[in-house]
Amino acid sequence: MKIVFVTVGTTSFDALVKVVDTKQVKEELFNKGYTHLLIQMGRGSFIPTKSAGEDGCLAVDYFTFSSSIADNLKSASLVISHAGSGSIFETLRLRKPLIVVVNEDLMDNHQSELAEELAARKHLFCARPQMLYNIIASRNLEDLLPYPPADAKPVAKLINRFLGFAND
Amino acid sequence: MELDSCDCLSMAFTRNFIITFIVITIISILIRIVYVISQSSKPLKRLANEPMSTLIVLGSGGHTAEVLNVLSELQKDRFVPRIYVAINNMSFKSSGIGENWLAVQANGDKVSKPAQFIQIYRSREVGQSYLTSIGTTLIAIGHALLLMIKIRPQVILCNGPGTCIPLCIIAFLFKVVGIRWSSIFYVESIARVRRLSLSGLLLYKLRMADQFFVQWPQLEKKYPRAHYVGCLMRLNESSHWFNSGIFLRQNSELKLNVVGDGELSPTQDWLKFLSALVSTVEWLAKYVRRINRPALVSGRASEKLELSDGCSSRRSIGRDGRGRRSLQVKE
Repeated sequence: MKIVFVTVGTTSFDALVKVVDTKQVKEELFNKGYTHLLIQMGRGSFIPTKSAGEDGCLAVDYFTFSSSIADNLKSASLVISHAGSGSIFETLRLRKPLIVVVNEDLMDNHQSELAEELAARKHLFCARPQMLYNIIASRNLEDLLPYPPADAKPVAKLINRFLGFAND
Repeated sequence: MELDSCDCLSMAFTRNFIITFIVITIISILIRIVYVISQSSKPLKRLANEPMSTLIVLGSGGHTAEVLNVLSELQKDRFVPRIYVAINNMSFKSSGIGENWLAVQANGDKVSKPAQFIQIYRSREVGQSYLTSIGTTLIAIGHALLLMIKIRPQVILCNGPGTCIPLCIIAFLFKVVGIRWSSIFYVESIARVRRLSLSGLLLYKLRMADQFFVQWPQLEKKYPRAHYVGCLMRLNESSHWFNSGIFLRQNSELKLNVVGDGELSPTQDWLKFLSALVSTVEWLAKYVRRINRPALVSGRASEKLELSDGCSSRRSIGRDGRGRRSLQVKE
């Protein structure tokens, strides 16, 4: 069972939900070997169509919110997320393939900076909603690099040195 | 008439005196501010390796993890007491610090001063009207002032939410007035790759942060006084400890009680504020008396003093961390 998990966090991102719900994208995901599509739609107003997934197509389900999407992320084989840094890093930490879709309707879109930078470093794929199909069809998820573990030791050293504590 | 001209003269004199006094005061304050800013960026010179009281400002959500990651690399016994401040329960919950806190509490006897968690007011809710925002912002600033007067931290660690701005401004004012020298460390969020957040920009431009850390090299290029420290985002499993609401109990003196679902209702704020004001004025008076002591020989002059009970001790005049003269007694 290969699950594609789509999340928009606490935002409303109808454009993403709509494009994921299109026949084109669903067929492409099915062709790539995915069996289930789970959409966390947040505050969005567009309701995707549920499907039980018989006769050679994707099983589709959705929900609005959950207290923690960690379990959904853990069981997913592919994550398609909005550009929230929390979602991005939670997914990267679990080493799941990630496609980030940037919400163009947001004002002052500083979120896209993070997505673009991480895409440039090949930790995820970044796309606008209209380009999602192309990314799924053409890109190889194996090419993604794992996110390196964080290291707070340099900061701690700087802080200790600044405050006059001896460094060990 | 003569009487009139005398009055006019004395009035003119008084007016000139007042104007001169105001101008001198303003210039002194400005000089002091420039001095504080120039000293802020320099590392502290401390004589003793004593622990420093630390204030940690948490944001809402995952960004908090960055500050906590830093904290986990610092030696805990150097930073006590630790006070965590956030707007609401969710900040504590989602930051995953519950487990650490509980572990500390469990080993209570090993820790002399356990951490405190304090909830503060938000200046403005999303979508709040600007008219009422003025009132709530003033309340938030007043509350932040109360908090800072009580805590007077020596170290402030913050990560970008707007909550930290009033606290940092007050800490800066404390530096200028001389109440407490706090070293402010600001970690810009990992989501800021090419531009700083508003809080970050304020603290950077106004030079209020002693050390400014960024997590992407592009920002270091753009803002030369910032330090690039790499990515600090390491996510922990979110903690479920806070569901029971056990973490926010009253901070004994300020009496910040948690009511119901984690809502805050400070009790007897005004009385506490007045008493804090009185103790601050007392402190100021002591400070003024200290710096007005007759000038002693600078540098390391040591003198043996006879104390009234007959024992003598070696007292030396040295310089403390901020270059001020201070008396150190070795017995």
